[in-house]
Amino acid sequence: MAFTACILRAIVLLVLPAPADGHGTQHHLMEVVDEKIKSSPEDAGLWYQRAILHLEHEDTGQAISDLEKAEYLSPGKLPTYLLKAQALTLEGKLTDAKSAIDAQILRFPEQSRGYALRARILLKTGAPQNGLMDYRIALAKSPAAEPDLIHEVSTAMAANGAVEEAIEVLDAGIQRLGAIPSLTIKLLETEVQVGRYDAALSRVNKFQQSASRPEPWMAKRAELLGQAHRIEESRASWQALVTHLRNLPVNERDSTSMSLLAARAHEALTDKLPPQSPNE
Amino acid sequence: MKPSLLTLLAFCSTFLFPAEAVNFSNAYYQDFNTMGTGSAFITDWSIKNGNGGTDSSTWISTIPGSGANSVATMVATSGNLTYNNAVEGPMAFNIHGYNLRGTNDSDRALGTSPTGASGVAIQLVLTNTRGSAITGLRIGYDIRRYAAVSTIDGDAELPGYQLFYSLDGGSTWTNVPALNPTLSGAGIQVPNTQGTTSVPLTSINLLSNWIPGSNLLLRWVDDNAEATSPDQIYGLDNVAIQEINYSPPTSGSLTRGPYLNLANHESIVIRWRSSLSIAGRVRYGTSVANLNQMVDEAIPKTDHEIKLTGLSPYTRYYYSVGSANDTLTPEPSETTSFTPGAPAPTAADYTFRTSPLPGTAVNTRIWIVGDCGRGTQAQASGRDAYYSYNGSPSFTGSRTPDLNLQLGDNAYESGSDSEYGVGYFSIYSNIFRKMPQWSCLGNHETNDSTSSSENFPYFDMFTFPTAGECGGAPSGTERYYSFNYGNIHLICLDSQTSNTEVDNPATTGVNEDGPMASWLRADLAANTATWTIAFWHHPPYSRGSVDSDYTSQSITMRTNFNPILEAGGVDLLYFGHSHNYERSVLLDGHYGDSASITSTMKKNVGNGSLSGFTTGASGTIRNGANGFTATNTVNGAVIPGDGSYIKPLTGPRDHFGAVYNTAGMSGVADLRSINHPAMYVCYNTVGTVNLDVNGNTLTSTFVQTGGATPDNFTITKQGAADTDGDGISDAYEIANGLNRYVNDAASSADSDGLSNFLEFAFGLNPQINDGGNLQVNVPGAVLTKRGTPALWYQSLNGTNFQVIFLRRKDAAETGLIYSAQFSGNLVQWETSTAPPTVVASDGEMEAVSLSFPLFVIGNEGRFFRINVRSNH
Repeated sequence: MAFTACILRAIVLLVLPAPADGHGTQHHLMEVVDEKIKSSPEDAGLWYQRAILHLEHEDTGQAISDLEKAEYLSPGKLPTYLLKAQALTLEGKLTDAKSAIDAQILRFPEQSRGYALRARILLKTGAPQNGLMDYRIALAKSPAAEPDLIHEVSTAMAANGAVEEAIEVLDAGIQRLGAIPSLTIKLLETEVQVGRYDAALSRVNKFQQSASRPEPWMAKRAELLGQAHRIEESRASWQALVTHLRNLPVNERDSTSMSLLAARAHEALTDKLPPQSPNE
Repeated sequence: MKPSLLTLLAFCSTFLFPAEAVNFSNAYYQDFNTMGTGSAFITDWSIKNGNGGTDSSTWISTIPGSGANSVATMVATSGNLTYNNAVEGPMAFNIHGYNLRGTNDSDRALGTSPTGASGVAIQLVLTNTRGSAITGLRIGYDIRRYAAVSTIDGDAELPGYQLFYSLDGGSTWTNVPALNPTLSGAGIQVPNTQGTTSVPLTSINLLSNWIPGSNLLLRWVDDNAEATSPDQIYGLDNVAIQEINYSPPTSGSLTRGPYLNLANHESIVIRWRSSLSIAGRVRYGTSVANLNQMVDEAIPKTDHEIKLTGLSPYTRYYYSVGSANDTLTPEPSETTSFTPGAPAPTAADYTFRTSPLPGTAVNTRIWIVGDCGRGTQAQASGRDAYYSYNGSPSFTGSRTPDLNLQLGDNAYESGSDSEYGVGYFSIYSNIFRKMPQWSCLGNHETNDSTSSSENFPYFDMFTFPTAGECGGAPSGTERYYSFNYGNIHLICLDSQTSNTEVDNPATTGVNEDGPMASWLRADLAANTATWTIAFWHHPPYSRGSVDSDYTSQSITMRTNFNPILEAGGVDLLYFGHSHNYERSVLLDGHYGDSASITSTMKKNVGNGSLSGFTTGASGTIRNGANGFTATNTVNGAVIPGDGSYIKPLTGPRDHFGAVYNTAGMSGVADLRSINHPAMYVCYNTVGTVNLDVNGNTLTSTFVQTGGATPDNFTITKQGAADTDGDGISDAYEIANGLNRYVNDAASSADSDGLSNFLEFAFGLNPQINDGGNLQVNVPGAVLTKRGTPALWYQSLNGTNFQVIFLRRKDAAETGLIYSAQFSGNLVQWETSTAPPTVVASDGEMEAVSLSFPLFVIGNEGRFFRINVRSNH
């Protein structure tokens, strides 16, 4: 079976479908692939690529049809079951989706994304412990996991009672990627979720040390103290922030970010609900 | 004081530093940089000393290889190296050797300065692992001089190292006359001034064969000054030894680049591709004629990536790329596609300027290119129009942009490496070699994949920040990031693969922000730049190649991310995906489909242009009074400027409007309706966008193929933010518990009879009844109490009565105008035109006084009032 270069690229794709309409470049791409299929109907990669486009349009029936054609033309070579599982998930056919993703994992056991997708399906089918197990495997098979996966896995763990493990996952992510806000904020929320305010406050101190600006973390500390009902400490922290902001160089103090932090601090100190912008 | 030889020998018996023999098959190289800041010897090398240096009988012009007082009788010395990081080198003398500073702190040299009436040798032992006999070598190195030759007591020292070798384990040593240094005349001249002498690779035929498995010993010998110090001090660096018939590896040819990534005020990444695998080298410096610094890669490769660090802010550098054995630049001819007749680049074309210090305002030019990657003449014509816009003569213009934003779909169809070569790097290589580029991910970079866990060729080709290296919050991914350039903060988002979920405020107790939203909020919360510019691929507003009402990524970004950015004070946004130029008015709060736009969302329906512009064909424009009716553009029609869009310079700038510019027309233009109601002007034509940011003014210009500029707009930052327009600055309302979203100027929060506006104008607290007249200690120029205007009797200078009142120091910025008015009858009032005198002040306010006139409009002056108004 002959594949074009771009079709070979498609072999390794994981497509997380997003709803789309047949307007613009997507429509153009579909036309291009249609033409190619007319001239090379035996090219499994083309059918696979068209399935991706169908899936982006949420045209799951057409996607599954094209995936089955691709599988028929080139059995076992393309990750058709992965896309099929996604399509079936979109259709709400979770049992069938689970079967498809099982087949995918059997075929490509080293690929992390199969486990991540099965974890999502299992959570939807009410099998959280099995889902978490698949998430663990997905992470283990992704030594360079992006923030998205770490965030997703830790969220699922925290939501299903595995708070300690969620914290460990986030800690490991921060260790590798640095104190990135997407993980540090999640970590603080997870600590607070189980009432560990001291631990959260301790982390705030640490994160503040490595941050380019301390002010957002000063605000976070004051917020956490408020959430912990340590009102006087919270007020003192807000007041410290106000004083700090007042002493900044004018161009920094008058910036949008610092002005908005000042607004939050003053609102907290006056125990008022923040005035609402008509755009919020 | 020099220690005695006896003492030294005793010490040697305890601590010796045997070096390891080094396998040698073809070549050996040592730059000593791994010594770092240590005092231990580098593994391969050792120091020997002894002989030849008794009083008045030091080696002077000849060093014997064998026999008494010869190289052969030198013995291993002891002790650690002396670490020295001074530019001018050490001032002491020892026989243990030095770890010396080279061109910078991390560039090291191994040095000597004999003492104790002894010569010193630096020794290297090589083992022939070539498998065959070696008959000759090529040897080259640098001698770094730190101190002058000593001539005390008569005869001068030798001006540099004499090289000896031994093939019999050190019994007999042979000098290499061709490498013996001299101060002047023929041979290797080592000037008697501080500096570096490069001894070029020189061929040596060995006296006998160096047989496989045996050792070759090399000693660079430094003679001793006569007993009276000081001795000269110099060091050995960049030692290269090659088998005589050995051809050192080369880079082959330059097949991509060089191009510039990850630029900030103190570092930059230079990337290029060579046809052969080799450890790359960048040579660089601030003078094109003197690239006196260099950085090497650790391992051979074809895709090279070298980070230069320790650079000076806003400084122009020149560079070359290649390896230790060759230089690939300047290229012998211009290889940029579609540039017939272009002259070959010169060394001066390989250059960059580091970013200014963060927060520093400098005149900045940014080139915006969207959906370019076709590799066609049409793309090149759009490019050339921009180059011409930048001035002539030159194939890239005379004003190189400071940076380049790429809006995704940089290479069609699938974003493969080869497609990038044809449609991207080859088209722009003549400018990429001197302008850092930043890009977002388009759908063609991923071949339409939406997976956030998949790697794409794009990520292998570019280096973007993940750890906040260039300012902004660290994102942990190259898919989205931010960076600073002077007083501009630029944000790149990923509309193609990353999680785009955002928190729903309606669900309390749970934060549903995905990682990108979470990062963006944190990034904006720490952003203090004057300007905030964002870019990503899928346009939130477009009726070009795509319709943003129906394209899922456009809907998601508009609904989820526009609110975050507008709350963070974004000023300007660029997008690709639609192959059209579509530019909005100053817009805020439009998060629904195109039918949901209202007039209140258009913060300014004008064109934002100071100079006006001349329209081209194939466009639409909304220059009617209501800002919603579109008409087709007419080629050559002059559109007068409506004046720039104004936004506040200080205070919270959330929701003051932003301009949205879809600009994915740099490779091809599609013929579409381009009638999105958010837009002021749109075109179905190829081109790119120029952005100039000069202090508090920003101007964006559409540069069309052929050179026409059928649109421009300016945003000016001035004054203090006043969201509700009530004349009271937002900063004051925030600090004093007022509502900045409601006009409460006439209210009195503390019911003290003063309106909130007057409390603001006179620097009082609107929540506390702190009225009463101001009080001033005039002799001390101290404002002792803020308050309302007062009458002041002054008896000393003959002007008995004066009016004194408080004025905000930031009155110009906050738009306050104070005027004193006088009357004799409370009916007729006269406004004083005399300039007030500042008599006292505190941090925010100043007390000013005016003379009370004796007569006002024919009546005795009896009354005064201070009129305060806002010009906002």
